[in-house]
Amino acid sequence: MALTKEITQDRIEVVGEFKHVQVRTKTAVMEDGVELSSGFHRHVVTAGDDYSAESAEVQAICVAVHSDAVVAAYAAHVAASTPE
Amino acid sequence: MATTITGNTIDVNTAVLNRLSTDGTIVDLQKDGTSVGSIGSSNGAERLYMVNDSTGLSFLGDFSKILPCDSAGAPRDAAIDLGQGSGGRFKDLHLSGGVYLGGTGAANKLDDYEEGTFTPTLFGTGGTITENLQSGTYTKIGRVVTCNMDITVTSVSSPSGYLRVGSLPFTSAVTATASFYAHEFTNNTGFIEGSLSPSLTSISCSEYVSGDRTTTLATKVQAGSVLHSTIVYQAT
Repeated sequence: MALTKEITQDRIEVVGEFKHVQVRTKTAVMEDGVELSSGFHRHVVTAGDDYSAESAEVQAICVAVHSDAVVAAYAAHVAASTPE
Repeated sequence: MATTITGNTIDVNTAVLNRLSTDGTIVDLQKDGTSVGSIGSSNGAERLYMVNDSTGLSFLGDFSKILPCDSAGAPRDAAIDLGQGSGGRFKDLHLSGGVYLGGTGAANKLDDYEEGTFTPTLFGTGGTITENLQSGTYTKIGRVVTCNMDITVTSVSSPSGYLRVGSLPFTSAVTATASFYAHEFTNNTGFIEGSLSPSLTSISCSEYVSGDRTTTLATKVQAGSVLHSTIVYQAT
């Protein structure tokens, strides 16, 4: 009867025009391989963010989708969205 | 006297009930000579149904579906309940897809429910703001996200410019407004409001002082500033 905690990124989604990378991290408490409970924590990596601390999988996705053009377009969008 | 059918040969069916030619009842289950239900075939023997009176289930192996059906195994639309509120509930329902509520269109489909946490951040255009409490919870129902956030600032270093609450758990689809309860900002801080623009994950904060709206709120954040916020928005 061993209790273990498993942390996985169980969902990684690329959404929207600016290729936001939405990451869901699942923390599950397991007993002999059977899940007793779990919870989710989310964060989003936006174009231009420093993703060096992300998992290898998220980094690879960011490299693929956060092109210079996307980063520039998102920065312009953020600037345009700033309240006047 | 009960009748028991026992197969005595391994790997051979114990009983075969073979209705010929037409669809209909294969087994008629009776109590005191009165039928209480039946098992039969429909749709050219492609489907199996089990029914009591006119309340049954039809198994459509050719479509990978189970439908409510009438006494002949035909679909019975919008007439049969699953469970009942008082003493007849099922326990959990596990779905990998969604549920259609109040209609059959795409707009009626609820395909997501999720609760979780996130780590909200507070930052200005310039300088730094360091938090020692960053607590965020969210509930997502369909595409609507409700977030509650608590942030406490432990120290600042010349924060300036626009103030944003960032790191929301989902990207916004349309503009939304946030409500704030803030205290321990510099003592001339007015009423704070927030807006979330499309395709962003951060809320822009503005303040009203004597009827005038200003956006350079970051300068008013100090050590000990506390921000509680709630926002409801539509995710992309």
